[in-house]
Amino acid sequence: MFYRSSAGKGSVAKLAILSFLLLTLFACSETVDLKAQTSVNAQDVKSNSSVSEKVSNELVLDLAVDQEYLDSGQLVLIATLKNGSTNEVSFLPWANPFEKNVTADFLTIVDLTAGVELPYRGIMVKRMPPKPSDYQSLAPQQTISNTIDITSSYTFCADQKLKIVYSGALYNQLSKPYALELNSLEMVLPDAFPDC
Amino acid sequence: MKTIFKYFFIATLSISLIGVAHAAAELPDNLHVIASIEQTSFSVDDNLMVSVTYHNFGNQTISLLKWDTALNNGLTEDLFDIEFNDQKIPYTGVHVKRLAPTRSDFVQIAPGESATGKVNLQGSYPINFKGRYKIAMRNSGALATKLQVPITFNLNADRPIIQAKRPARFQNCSTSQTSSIDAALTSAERIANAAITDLRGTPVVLRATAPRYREWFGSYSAGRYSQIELGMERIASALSSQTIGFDCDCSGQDGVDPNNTFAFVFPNDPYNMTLCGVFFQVAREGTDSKSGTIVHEISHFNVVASSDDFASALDQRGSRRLASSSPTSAIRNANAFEYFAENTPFLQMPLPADLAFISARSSKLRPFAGQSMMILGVISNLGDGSAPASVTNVTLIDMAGVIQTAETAVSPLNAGENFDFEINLKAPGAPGEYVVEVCVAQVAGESNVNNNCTALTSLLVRESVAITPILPLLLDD
Repeated sequence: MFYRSSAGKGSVAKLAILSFLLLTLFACSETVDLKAQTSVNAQDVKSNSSVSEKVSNELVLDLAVDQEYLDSGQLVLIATLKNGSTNEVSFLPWANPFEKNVTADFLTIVDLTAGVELPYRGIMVKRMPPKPSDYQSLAPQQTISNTIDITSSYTFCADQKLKIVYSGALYNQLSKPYALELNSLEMVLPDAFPDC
Repeated sequence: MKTIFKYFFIATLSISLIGVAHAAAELPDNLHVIASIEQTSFSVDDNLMVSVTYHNFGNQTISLLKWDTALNNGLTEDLFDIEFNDQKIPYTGVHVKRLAPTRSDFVQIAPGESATGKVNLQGSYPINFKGRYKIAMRNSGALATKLQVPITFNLNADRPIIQAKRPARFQNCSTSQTSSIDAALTSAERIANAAITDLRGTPVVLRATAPRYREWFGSYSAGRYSQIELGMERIASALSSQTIGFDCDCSGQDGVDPNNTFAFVFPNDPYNMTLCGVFFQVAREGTDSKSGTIVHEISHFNVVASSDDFASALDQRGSRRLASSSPTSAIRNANAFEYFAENTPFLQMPLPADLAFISARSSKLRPFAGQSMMILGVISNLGDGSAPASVTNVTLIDMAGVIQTAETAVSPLNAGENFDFEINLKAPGAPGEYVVEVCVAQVAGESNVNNNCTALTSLLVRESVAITPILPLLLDD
C-alpha cells in the first residue's frame, strides 16, 4: 500500500506544464537548477546539484511511503523511476534512492510544524569513481522501483508533520544530471514513532 | 618633513565625553588619546607593544581611573579595534570584576600634561598570522571617525599555534594499519595547516585570480572565500587539537562496499571515521591519498564544514567541473577541500610581494646647481610572492615642497630577487639643502608598504661655478 502525494499520476499533465513553464522561465539563464524543475515549493529544496548542462529526458522520479512500515514506526520510501523517453537511460544509482541503503543526504525533509529542516544523520561515503558496470540502464518506457529505509538517517518523532522532497540528482556516464520530474510527500508520523 | 612623518604612526582621538570614568568610551572632556607604535614590523618573538598617551587639553586636572585604560598594568578590557584582511579580530583577553576603586586606582593629569601607558596586544588579541594589521582605539560611534591616521603594523611570520595534540584512538586496526594511519594523520595536519596558511596569506586583491582556489572552488566571491577559510581553519584545528577516532573495520556498514570505499563518517559524530579497503591501498600523500581522505572526512562533520559528497565529483575531473559550473555547490564539496589541501598537481595561491629598498644613494652629495647627477640603489622583493612590474620615482623636496620628480621602471621581481636602479636628474637650480625621497610604487596585494619609500641624506646644492667648465669637476665629491 502506497501513501501517495498530491502530485501523483493524475497530476502528470499539470507537472509537465509547470515544468515547461519553469524551464521557459529559466531559459535565459546558463544554469538550470534542479529545484527549478520540481513541482514543489522550490524554497524547501536543497540545491545539491546545479550544473550548467542537464541532460534532457522525460524521467519521472516518484517518491511514495510504504504505509505498512510507517504504521509500525519505520519510514521506508518507495522510489519509482519511469523513463518516458524513446531513448535508453543510464544512470548512477549512488547517493540517491536507488541504492539498497542511504549513503548520502539526497532528501530535504522539513518538519512543517516546527518549520525546520531535519538534519541528516546518516553516513557520508568517499568512494572510488564509478566504473561503467556501476551504472543502471532503463529502457524507453521502462519503470523501476526501489525501497529504501530512511528511518535511521534522520530523527523522526511521533506526530511530526513532514514534507519530503528529493534534492539529489541522477547522473549519466558523463556525470551530467538528468532533468527530473519530481513529486513531494507530506505526512504525519503515527504514534509508532518515538516521542521526542 | 613628509618622509619623517611616514615613520610615525600616530592616531589622535578627541574624546568629548563627560566626567571621570573607567571605560574607554567614558573618558572625560578635553582628554585626547594618542596611540602609537614604535615598530611597524614585528617578528613572532616580539612583544606587540602599543603606547597610549592621555593628554589633558583642558584647564582643570583630570582624575582618570586607570582601570580599562592603557595606564593599567596590562589589558583588562577591549581597548582596540584590530583588523586583519578587513575582518575584526576579537578580544580574547580578560574581563575583570573588581571591588570599588580606591585612591591609588586613579591617576591625576594636570592641564597640559600627559600620562602614557604601554600595553602588549599579544595574549589579548589572536594576532597569529603573517600579514598586515590595522589598529584603532576602540570607541563608540562618530568618535572613532576622528582617528586621523590609521596605525598599521606587520607580523612577518605565522605564529606557531601551540595546542596540546591528542593521540588518535584506534579500533579494529592492526599494528601496521595503526602505523600508516598515524603517519597519514601527521601529513593531514600538515597539508591542512599549509592550506589555511595559503588561504589566509593570499592578499584580498589577488584572491579572485588565485589558480588553486578557482580550480577547486570556482569563481571567487568574498563570502564563499570566507566560508572556505573558516572550514579549512576548523579542519586544521580539529586535526591539531582533537582526538580523531579511527575504526578499521568497515565490513558491517550497510550500503558500503569496502572494496570501492576509502572511508565514511556520520557527520553528527565528530571526530570518528571508519576506514575501508581503498584507504589502505593509496599513498600517504598526493591525489586521493590517505592524508587527503582524512581531510575529506573531517570536513564532513557538522561542527567543521558540513561538506557533502557529490556523486558527480568523486574525482578531480568531476570536482573541477563542479567548481566551474556551480561554485555554490563546490564550496560544499568534501573532495574540493581534499584536493585543495593535497594540492597535487601543484597550483599557486598568490602570496604577497614586498618591495623594499636595500640601498639608495645619490652619486653626488654636494652637487652644483643644475649639475647632472644620479640616484641609484637596489630594490628587493622581500615577500613570498612575485611582484609585477613597478616604477621607482625620486622626489626632491625643499622647505616649500616638492620641486622635482623623476622616475624609472622596475622589472617584475620574483621572491628574493633584486633590481638595480639608476635615475638621472639635474640638481636643483637654486643652492640650498634638499631632501631626496625615493619610492617604489606599491604592487597589488603587497604585504608591507611601509618600506616602499626611503629618504636619502640631505642633498646640499652648491652655487654653480661658471669660471671654467673644468672647475666643477675638480670640486666634485
